[in-house]
Amino acid sequence: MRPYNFSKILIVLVIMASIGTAAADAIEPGQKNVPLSYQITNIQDFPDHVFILHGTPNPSLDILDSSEFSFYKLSICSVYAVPQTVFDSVQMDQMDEAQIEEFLKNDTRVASSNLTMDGIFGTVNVADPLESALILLEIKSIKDNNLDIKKTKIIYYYSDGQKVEKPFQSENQIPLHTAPGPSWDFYLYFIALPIVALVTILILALRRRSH
Amino acid sequence: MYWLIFLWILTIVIEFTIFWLIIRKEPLKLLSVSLLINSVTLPLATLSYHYLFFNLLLTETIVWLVESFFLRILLEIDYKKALIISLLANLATSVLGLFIKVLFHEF
Repeated sequence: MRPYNFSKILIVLVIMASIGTAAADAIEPGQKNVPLSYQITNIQDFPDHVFILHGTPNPSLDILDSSEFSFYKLSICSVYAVPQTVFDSVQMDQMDEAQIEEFLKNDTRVASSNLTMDGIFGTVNVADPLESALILLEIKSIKDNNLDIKKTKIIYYYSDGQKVEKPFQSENQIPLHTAPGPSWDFYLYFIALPIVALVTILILALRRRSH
Repeated sequence: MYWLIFLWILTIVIEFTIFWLIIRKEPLKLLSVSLLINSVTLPLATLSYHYLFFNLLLTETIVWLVESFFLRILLEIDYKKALIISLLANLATSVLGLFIKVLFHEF
């Protein structure tokens, strides 16, 4: 390869480096979204109520049960408790979005809480083994139009199958996740494999040259 | 990690196919070359993309040049041919990589 070709390549590399990450999408390169879901652990203890997930911009109306639920990552949601008899009489499934909002926020028969929920845990480095998080909610009481629901625990799920539970000390502060270090397969793939391959290539090259 | 292994195997197979389509001899040797080259470049490119450059175009360009150099040595071909083969192989894997990223929302 002639010397002037190297300088051309160098110029191309500099231009490409300066282009930066123009094509990057909403997530920064090197980062990944960690999905977040929720679960009400004692919903079965309140059979006389229907629990509704309502948020901005969505969902408008999701009826909750004991299974895990999640929602759009940019939504902020709240849980409302509607007495079963009221729910049956108002026919919420026939309401439009504005009517649902009006009903949930202003009807005195609806119990609401101060708890707000985010749709996403956040972003972490792609090498971070954290895969997802689950926040456990517990209904403490329903009195008149006040729903007392608390975050009790967060469960972190990692790529190697581990899960770590952390209790909430404060409602507004998510317990930090302590990521386990990279697993052995990380070192095998990113360190050992390239070294072995590179050494093999060098040996082959040297053998060729000696022949 | 299974996902990275899958991409590694897929890349080896695709680049081998490109090598085979152009060179058309010694398929076992071409497969071994693809295995060796991609065992160096793919893990290091993935690592450097996520920790150093954050620039797909720059990473792909460096991979193209490094693979050309390895092809020149291992297949004993001239630089021009090595650059063309490597360019085609990396274009094929890049296009497929972008397609997979869109399809599965993976890195």
